[in-house]
Parts: sequence; structure tokens; C-alpha cells
Amino acid sequence: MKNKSILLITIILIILLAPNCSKDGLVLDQDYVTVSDIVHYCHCDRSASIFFDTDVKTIIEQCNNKEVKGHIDNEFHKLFLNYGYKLNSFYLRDFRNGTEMLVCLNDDFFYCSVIDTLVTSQDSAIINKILNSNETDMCYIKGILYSHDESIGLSRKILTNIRMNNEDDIIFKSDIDY
Amino acid sequence: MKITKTILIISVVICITFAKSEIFAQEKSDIYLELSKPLLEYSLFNRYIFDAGTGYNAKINRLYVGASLNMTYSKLKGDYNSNTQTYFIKPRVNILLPIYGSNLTTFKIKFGLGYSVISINNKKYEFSDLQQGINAILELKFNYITKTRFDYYFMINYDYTYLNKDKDFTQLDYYRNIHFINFGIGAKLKFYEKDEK
Repeated sequence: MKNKSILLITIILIILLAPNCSKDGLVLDQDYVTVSDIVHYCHCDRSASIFFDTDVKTIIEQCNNKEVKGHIDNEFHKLFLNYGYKLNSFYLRDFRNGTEMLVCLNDDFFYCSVIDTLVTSQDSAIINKILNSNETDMCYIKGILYSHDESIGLSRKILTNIRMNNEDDIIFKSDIDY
Repeated sequence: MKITKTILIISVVICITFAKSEIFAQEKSDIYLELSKPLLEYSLFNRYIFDAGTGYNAKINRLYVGASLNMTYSKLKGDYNSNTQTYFIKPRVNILLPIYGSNLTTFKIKFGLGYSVISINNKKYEFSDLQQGINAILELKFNYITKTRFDYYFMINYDYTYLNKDKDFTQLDYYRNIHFINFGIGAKLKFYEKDEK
């Protein structure tokens, strides 16, 4: 009897203390949100639990169609030298803490690929816009945030990337402030 | 940064001046210098390097009451992050309660309340930002008592900062809360009743 009570209390404690995915009050769809905020808000990484499926659904619903701001990762230029206009993705970074998120150009696939075999004029226009910007300019992206959940053994996680369609989805400003 | 350096230099000079004398009397106050490293960190910055602090405590009945100034330094390195530097300046008032004492050792609990000013800089992006918030600390100190003017101690503390709301900095409450659990060492210079007469 005593053992059962201890077991029950332990199970309740594990359920209560299991880390929750973000329940923070992020006001989305009003302003451009920093990469750090989006990544923390839309990301979830923990062991599977009875609540995970509900959390996944809620978070994925909350994290669609958002606007994000950050700086283009330095690696973009190196990748462009290797792949040219076949380049299909790059990272947007918050230099305050190094948090990054993947930005995909016009990709309908489940996973965003690094290179694209089919280069469209829209892809090239986006890449040209980035090449013509200053490295230190703040980059504002209006795109479709695409969140999906992925199982790795017992652990499951929600991953988020942003997908753009044309060059109007990306603008650069020489803002000093975040 | 200059203020912190000056305080550290003055503290070291005072410590060296008084270091050699041996005194057996009732301790009335002390100044101290300490260094700590994080065991855990939860914050936006997540690259915390070290914390240095100095302070003064005076004995009032059983308690020690004092003020301190700590500086935490954090730096992001590498191409990706282009050297973003973050300084936390934390002035605090503190209360220390001895919970155990012998001729060789003492345990003290410290509670401190103050303010935290955080300066974030990145030269490459010509970026600088200042964030502020309230700061509190709960610390356990293990002192080793010597027969000289100096005592040495280990400490473990929980350092918490709650930043003022700034939508441009973050929209998430998660990042407004900064938690550190630090472990460190320190040295204190003791003053006695006869010093104060």
C-alpha cells in the first residue's frame, strides 16, 4: 500500500515537473519578432509525454505566418561562392546570442534543402537582394513559418523554419537598434 | 569598466596593506573580493564567462549588513557572432546571517537585493543596448578563518535578474528572467573594534 502511494506520488511529480513547451505570451502578427523569440517560442524539445501531441498541435498552429528579423549569417557569402544561384537556404541570426533559424527560398518540400536544382527568377531576385545589402543591415522577413515535429528515439522536437516566396518578402534596413 | 577596475585596484591595495598583521579580537566589519563561475545559466545571452565582485559588511548585533558591487562579463566569440560583449553591473545591499561557527570555519547565508544594468555591445554591427532590472541573490558562504587579517571563503549562489519590459529587446517573459547558479572563491579583509577607535 505504502509502495503504491510512493509510486503514484512519483508519477504525479514526473507529470507535473516535466518541462513544458513555451506558453509565453508572444504577440505575433503585429511586428517583426527577433530570431531568439521565434526560436524559443516555436521550438520544443523534450521526451515524449501524454501532453506532447496537444502541445505540438498548439505550437504549430501558433507559429504559422509570422514575421521575423535578424542578420544574414556570414556563411551566406561562402555558400553563394560554392552553389551560386542554386543556393536554396540560409540562416538568419540574432548576433546578441548566436541563435539562428533556417530561411528557405520558395521550397515546398517537407525539409528545406541547401541547394535547389530548379532555379527560378524569384529565387535569383531574393539572392541578388541579399548580395546588394550591407552585411550589417537588419533583415526583415515576411514569410510562412513552417513548424513540424520530429521524433528521435524517445525524444521529440518541434523544428521551425521560415519560407519566402519572392523578393518583396525580404527587406533590409540599416537599423542600429534591435 | 573603469569604475570596476578602480574598485578592484583599491581593494587589492587595502588588502596588501593590512595583510601581515595578526590580531585576535572581535571582528566588526570586512571588505571582500570574490570571483565566481557559473554552474548553470538561463538567459538570453547564454555565454556567461565570470563574475567579479567587491563589497563591505558591518556587524550589527548578530547580523552583517553591507553593500556590494558585482560585474558579470559575457562574450560571444567566432565569425557567426562577431564578438558581442555583455556586461552586467550589479550594485546590491546585503544581509548576512551566520548559521554555524567554530574557531576555524563559519557558514553564512547571504541575501542581497539590488539593481542590474546590462550593457550589450557589438562593434561590427555598431550595436549597443542597455537593459535594466531588479536583481536578487541568495548565497551560501563557507569561511575559513585564519589568525591573520584575511579569511578565505567558498560560496555558491543563486543570482536572479528580472528585466524591465522592452519589446524591442524581447517579447518573451522567458528572456526577461535571468538565472545564474555560481560557484566561486573570495577573500575578505577583517577590521576589528580597535581599528575603528
